[in-house]
Amino acid sequence: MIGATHFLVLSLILLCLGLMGMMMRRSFIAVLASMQLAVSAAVLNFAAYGFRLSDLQGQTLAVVVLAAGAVQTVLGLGLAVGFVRLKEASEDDAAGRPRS
Amino acid sequence: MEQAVPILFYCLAVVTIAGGIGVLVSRKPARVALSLLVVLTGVTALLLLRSAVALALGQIIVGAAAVGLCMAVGKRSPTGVSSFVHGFAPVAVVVGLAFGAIVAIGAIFGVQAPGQGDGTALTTVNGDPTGNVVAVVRELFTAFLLPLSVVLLTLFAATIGARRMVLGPAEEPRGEGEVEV
Repeated sequence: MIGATHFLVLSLILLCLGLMGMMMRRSFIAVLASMQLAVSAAVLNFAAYGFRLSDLQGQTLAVVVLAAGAVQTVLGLGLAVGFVRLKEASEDDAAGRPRS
Repeated sequence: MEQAVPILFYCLAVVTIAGGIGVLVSRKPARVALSLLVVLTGVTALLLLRSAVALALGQIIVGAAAVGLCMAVGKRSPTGVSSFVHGFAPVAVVVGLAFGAIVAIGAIFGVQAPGQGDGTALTTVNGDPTGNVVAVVRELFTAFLLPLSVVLLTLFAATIGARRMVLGPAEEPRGEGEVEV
């Protein structure tokens, strides 16, 4: 029988993988993906406690957490592209090339 | 069917953890994104295993949006990020179509999906039992209206900010007679 404990253990493993990714990787996309892993772990955690407590609020809160994860993804990708643009502009300035 | 649930759970758990390890060890951004997709799909299937249809749909939509954003950002950016798209588009199209099919099936059948009395329990509207999606959405727009509004407003602001960062500052209109130097 699969219970909430199984989901909690899986959520713990996902959270550990996400934290390791955030600490070990340097690539921005990889760090963002690792953060998304941690968000998925939180979603599983909320859902598991919802199952255990027979309460629908666990799932509802998990939906809100998902939306917060979407905010994080949008901001992260925007920051990544903004940073790359800035870096490219400064390299162009250093090389004396006109900005496109 | 009851005997199949533990087997399915362990298979999906292994796939999800493998995807997580893929995120950790992959060097190419496209592989990282694909590994993340594997994780999101695995988590979605695990949630469907417990009849949490609404949450699974939310997970699918967020995953599809994340991948779509990666594609859009990669295409709009004139920089090296565009290399991210290289060789990734066909896979993304197939995965997107699969996600769309899952969303459609979930939306059609999920509204009437029966609960299991363990958090997916049915609630009633006017005496009629409703499915998991209706129950969660009703909870979302009553008890959780304030947090949902705050998060969605933040998402709106973040989208506008990200778009501005991606496209760069808007050009100011030049006055008449002003000469470009």
